[in-house]
This record gives sequence, C-alpha cells and structure tokens, in this order.
Amino acid sequence: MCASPGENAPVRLSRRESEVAGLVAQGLTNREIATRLFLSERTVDGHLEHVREKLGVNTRAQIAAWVVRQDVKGIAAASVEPISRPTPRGRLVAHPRLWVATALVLALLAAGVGLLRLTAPPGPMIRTIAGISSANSYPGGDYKGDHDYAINAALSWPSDVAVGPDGEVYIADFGNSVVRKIGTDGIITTVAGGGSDPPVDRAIATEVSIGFASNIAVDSSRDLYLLTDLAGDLEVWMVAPDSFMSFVVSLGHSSNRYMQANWNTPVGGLAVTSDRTLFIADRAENRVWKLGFGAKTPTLYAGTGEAGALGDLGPATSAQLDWPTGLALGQNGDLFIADTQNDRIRRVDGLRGTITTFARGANLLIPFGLAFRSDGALFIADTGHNQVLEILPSGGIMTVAGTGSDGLSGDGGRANDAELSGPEGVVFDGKGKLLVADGGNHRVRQVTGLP
Amino acid sequence: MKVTTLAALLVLTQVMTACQSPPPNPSGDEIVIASDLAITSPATADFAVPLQQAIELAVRQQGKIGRFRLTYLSLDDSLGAAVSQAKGVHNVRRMISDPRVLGMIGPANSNTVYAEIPVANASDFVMLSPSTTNVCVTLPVPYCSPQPKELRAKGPSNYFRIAPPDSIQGRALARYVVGNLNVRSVAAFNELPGGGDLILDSFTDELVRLGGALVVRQDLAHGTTGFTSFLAEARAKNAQAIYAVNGAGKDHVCVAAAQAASEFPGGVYFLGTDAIAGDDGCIKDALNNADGMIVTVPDVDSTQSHDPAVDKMVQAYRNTYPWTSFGIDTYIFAAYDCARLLIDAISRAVQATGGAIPTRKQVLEAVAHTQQFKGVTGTYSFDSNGDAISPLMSLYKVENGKWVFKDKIDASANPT
Repeated sequence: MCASPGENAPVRLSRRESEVAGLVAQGLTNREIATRLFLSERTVDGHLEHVREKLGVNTRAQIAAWVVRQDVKGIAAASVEPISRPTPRGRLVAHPRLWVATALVLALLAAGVGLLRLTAPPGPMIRTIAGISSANSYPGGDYKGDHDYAINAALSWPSDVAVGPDGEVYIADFGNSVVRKIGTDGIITTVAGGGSDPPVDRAIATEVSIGFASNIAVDSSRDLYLLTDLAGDLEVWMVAPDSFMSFVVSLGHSSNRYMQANWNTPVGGLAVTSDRTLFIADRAENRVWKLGFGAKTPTLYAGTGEAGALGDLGPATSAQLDWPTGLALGQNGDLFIADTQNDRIRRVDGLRGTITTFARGANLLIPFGLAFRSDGALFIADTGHNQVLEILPSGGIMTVAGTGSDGLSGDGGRANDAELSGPEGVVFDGKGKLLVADGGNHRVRQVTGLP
Repeated sequence: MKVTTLAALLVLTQVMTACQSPPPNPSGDEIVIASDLAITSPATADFAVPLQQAIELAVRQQGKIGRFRLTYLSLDDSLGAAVSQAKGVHNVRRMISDPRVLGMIGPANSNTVYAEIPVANASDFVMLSPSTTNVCVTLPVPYCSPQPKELRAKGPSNYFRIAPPDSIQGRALARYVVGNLNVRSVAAFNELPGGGDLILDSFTDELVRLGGALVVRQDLAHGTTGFTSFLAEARAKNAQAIYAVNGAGKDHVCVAAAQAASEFPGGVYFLGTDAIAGDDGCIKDALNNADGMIVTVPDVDSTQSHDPAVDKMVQAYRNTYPWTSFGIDTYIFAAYDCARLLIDAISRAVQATGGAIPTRKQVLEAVAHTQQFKGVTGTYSFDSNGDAISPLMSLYKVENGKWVFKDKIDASANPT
C-alpha cells in the first residue's frame, strides 16, 4: 500500500482547474464537464492534464479522492448550485452611496487593467495560416481546398514545413500522403502525391503515390526533396519546379515498416545545404546519412544503428542515437539532430565529425523538429510538451509557443497562451516568422514578433 | 455535492491505496506494475480510462506480493491528440529504466504494439494486452510484415494477449450458427483483403468440420453498396445465412441485409464481425432487416456473467468507478484479468526465488507458464505465440433495433 500522491505537498490549482477537479469528483465525464462549464472538451482535457500533473496523479479516481481529502466541497458546489440562489435581503438594501463607491472602484480597476494591457509588451503572436480542421476531428482532417486560400484548406497531420527561396511554403501533409504548397499569394496547391502508382523517374509528381512522406526540404534551386517510406524502403525523391520527379537515394529496407500509418510519427528527418548536400535521418534504424550533390551512395554521418545515448565527445559514427528525426544545419556547418527518444538535441561538429549533446533536460520530451533562425538561434518543436522552444545563447531554454497543454486555442493572441497539439516540423520564413506544423491540430501555425 | 456521491467518494478515498506514480524507493521493498494506455487522447480516453481503472483496482485489491508492496504506474501514450508510437516507446523505456517495474499491461492499440515489442523484448520485459486483436502481432501469417519473429529479436515472446486474434471470429461464429441456429449453408462476401480472408478461412474450416458448407465466397470492393448479384447467387445456392466480413471504417455491408429482404422473402440470417458490432449506422443501413443480425466480438463482457465470483468483481468495479458505462468492446474486465494474471505470475516468481524480488526474465517465464488461470473473462494459458489457448468470444444480436449481448463462445482450436 502506498501513500496517495500529492498528499502532503501543497498544491495550487487554478480556479478553472479546481472547478474541473470538483466536477470529476462528482463523476461527470469530460463531455459533461465541458457542457457544464461552457468549454470545449479539449480544453477540459487540458485542465485535467494540469490537474494530474500538479497533483501527481493519473486517474480520475485519484483526483476525486484528492478533492474529498481537501474538503473542497465549495469548489465542486460552485458550479452545480442553482444560479438563482436567493440573495440575502441585507445586501439588496445597501445604501446607494455604497453602490456608487463600488462602481467607482471597479471603473478604476478596469482602467488600470486596460492600461497594463496597453503598456505590456505584446510578445510573440500566433495564428493559423493553413488548415481548417480541429484536433477534435480525429482521425484527421480530410483532403480538400486546393486552389483556394490555404486558410480554407483541410490538412491531415502536417508533419513538416519548408520554405522555398521565393517565400513559398511547403507542407508535408502526412495524413493525406501529399505535399502541398502555399504560394506567395496565399493559394494552396498539391505539388506531390495524390496518385496511386509508385513514383518513377520523370513521373509527374501529382500523378503518383508518395507513400509515407513525412519530411521535406527545399534547396536554392526550388527543388523539393521528400523523405518517404515506400513499401518498407526509406527513400528520398526530388520534385523539380516543373513537377517531374527524380529518384535521389534509397536507404534500403527500414524498420519504419513496423510502424506504418501512424500519422503522428515521422519516418525520419531531412536537411539540405546551400551546396545541395543532403542529410537524412533514418528514425527507425537510428542513423543519420550524408549524401553529396550528385552522389549515388550515402555515407554514414552519425549513429551506429543501435538505440542508445552513448558516444558523446567521440566520432558521431560511433555514437548511439535513439529515433533521430528533425535535422537542422547551423551557420558553421554543424548538424543538429533531434534525438527524439533520448529527449536531447545532439550536435555533430561539421569539421571534426564529433558528437555532443547540445540540449537536454526536463524541458525536452520527444522533440521532433528543429529550425535555425538567421541569427543562429535554434528553435525546437518539443512535441511531447506541445510547445516550441528556443535555445538561448546562455544555454537556457525559453518557451516561445504553447502552454504545454494539448489542444487548439489561441489564434490571434500570444503564442505562449496558445495551445498546440503535438507540433512536429518547424521552419523560419525569410521574414523571421516561425512556421509550425501543428500535427494534431491539422494546421500550420505562424508565430510572429519573436524577440 | 450530493450526499450519495460524497459518501461514495469517501468510501473510495478509504479504499484507495494504490498509487500510480510511485515515489523513489531505494529500499527495494516495492514491486510495480505499469500500463501504457492513451488515457488523455480525446479519441481514446473513453476507452482507455476504464481499462486503467480496472488495472488500478486489481493492484489495489492485491496490495502486496510477499513482503513487497505492490503499486501501479500508469503512463499515457497520447501525443498530438492521438495514440503515439513515439510516446509508447518512450513509456516502455521509462518502465524498463525503473527496476521496480516487473511487467506492463498494454498497449491497447496494435500499431503501438509493433513499436513497443522490440524494445521490451530486448529487456525480457513482459507485456500483457487486453485488447489488441490484430492477427499479425502474434501469428506468423504470410502476409504479415513484419513477421512476429522479427519483432522479437531476442527470442521467446514477451507479449501475451487474452483477446483472441481477429481471425478466429470466423471459427466462433461457425460454431454458433451450426449449434444454435442449425445453419448449414452460408454465403460470404469479404471487403477486407488479408485479414478478412483469415476470418473466412477459419469460418469455412469450422463450418465444414461441423457438416456445413460455404456455398458462395466473393471478394467485394471496400465500400460496396450494391449486393444484388451476390445475393442472387447466394439464393440460387440455397444459402441460409449471409456472412459479411469487412474492416472497420466507412463500409456499408449492412446495406446487404436490407437488400436481402427482396432476394430472401422467407428470411435469411445476416452475420458479421466486430467491425459492425454496436454500430448504429449499420442498423440504419439494414432498414427493416436489422433485427436478427448476429456478430462476434473478441471480448467478454463480464457484466453479463451469472458466476457469483465474477458478479462480485463486477460489483466491486461498479462501486469504485460508478461513472463508468459498459458496452460492446470495452475490454474493461480483460484489463482486470491481465493485471490479475501478471500479479499471479509475479507472485509465483517471487515464491520461486524464495521470497526475493524476481528478475524480469523470471516474471516473463512465469507468465508464459501460466496454467489455467481463472479470470473473470475466462480461463487462461498461453501458446508459444503468446495467444490464449482457450479464448472466448462474445456474440451480439440486434433486437428491437438495439445491439444486445446473447452468448459467450469458446473459440479455442480444441474446445472442451
């Protein structure tokens, strides 16, 4: 028998969390709580997740037990008691001057709050730039909206984003097995996938099936590269601006095939340099490969193939990785790897080939995507925490988007107050705006005003 | 707060002793059972949370194994509003990194199983699943990729399940229609290539063994809505029943039941798999011919049991979690049985080590050697694939426009 979690530690729940906990204790389902409190079910999920975290519990029963232990009857009762409870007579006959004074105080308070809002720095803001589905539309959005504004299009589990030299945005619409492009006029089209035959050289990209294509990159010549699992083989294909496809490389049979059709799990990662060298992460085989422009055979760049975290300070090819996914190239040619199952970001020295851990810790949980801003700051899609983080020059980690709770909210407001749902790919456009493939929300979000 | 609710919660508080996030315990007097279920994903929480509660109940009822305190670690494999392999693997690694965790229940999703088995297998970490019925997880069927052996690089299976593989739904249904409905002649169509063929093969084998015959077998495209030619052939071959096999999703196989009304004015049995069980859309598609439809479900609903011991457990569950609703395919009591089965195996392993904490390998072997464990959903031993030797299947029927439980069928290869 063990002591119930959170029994001794003081716990502070927000008012809303307390309300939700109280209603859980009454046996209401999330749906019923959502109805009662005029919230979305996802928001209730989010509050419950916070409650669980704060209390250190996992079940509704434990939350209920906690509520009873805390004697928070008032909390629960607050939301169930009749709204039209009779008001004590004494209050109704208060002196008129008291009402005037109260109104004056309230007006002053309201003015103060308004002033504070006006003078507070706005911070990064967030909005949706593509996708109409909500996280509640599981198992995914559907596939529609081409030739219309991207904001009206349906995406399904977007897993990666890339930006072309002219500012056009490419989206790995993973759940729909297509790649979409948002032109500079805001119109979305499909540029790869949608057919049924496997790709071959010189095929038109929109007339073939591109399989499980979760990662994309665009080079300076507007060539689009896509990393895909095609019938168990991990392959890279290129789509030229004229829409013709070319085979680039196969990494052979991949264990990705063990895990097909999981739209919230990318098959690896992809990055391309200015001289069109490709770096390819094979998530399931725990390796990262390098392919020079025009080369036929890739060379091992990092990872022994064995899952693990060993090997820091030694050659990257002798080090262990555990589900390498997102890749990003630093200004000095170092390669950064989202070492997903190790909850780390690894760095491979571009000159010496040695590997180190660049970031790790409790702030990181299953990171999938990486992106560098032009000033060299690294941004991380911290997928497991539903947030986007920035690594500060001091080495510290700052949250730039996402409350941590899994959900869909916050468009038009501060990015830190918005909810994301399993964000994966991240990239910067040429204007310093951060684009986020918000997979579970079936949207691409844009964060602006980053410091 | 209502007085009754408050009273129930007070009782709950008093009896609640198991915790799910065990504190560090360097003294080594604790054994932990873990689970990996998508308890916060909006798509799965309603399914997964009752399973979590059932495991918690089993752990709480047990309290101790030998001198060891028994506790429960519940992990969530939701990520991005859905079940996540990445999170599942992360969770299994976390379990393995904690020496107190000797086994796990879950996951509930077959795709997650694929990602987790190799990780757990490398550490002799035993997994017990109440609800995964995908054939390829345990059976070396040619079309499966990967093959079960590929997932278990280290050797013996570390993955056990008490839910029967989907393929034997056919066998169970054949037993029922021959034994209870006296049906001997069946026409079948299949909209599920691969898995559906296995279901039909097991149905045909059993039907023939019992003296019947499959008179028509047709593959139809997924989503077919015109069944006239199939039904005409079925009628010409004097079929007494139509068997519709399909995968989950947007199929319309029950339209065949509606269209059968004109082909079979005297009536015909309409049979199906769990893909349509509990589906009100199917009842709607079948129009006036919905009543009488019969389907199999690879789960046992213990709330329907007449066994006093089972009733007692069901009542204990209801008392503890009064807000849970029961239905088709809920797997709540299968989760309870998995937890009890793991507890039983750990207890035997502790006994075998003279009261010391067993290794994970010893626990794995103890589960594999489970003999006739009597649970609330059935009696279990395992074959070398990790499947239950005597799996049970439920049978549901549409009556007055609603799905109702009718029977429990022994789906084992050699029924007693």
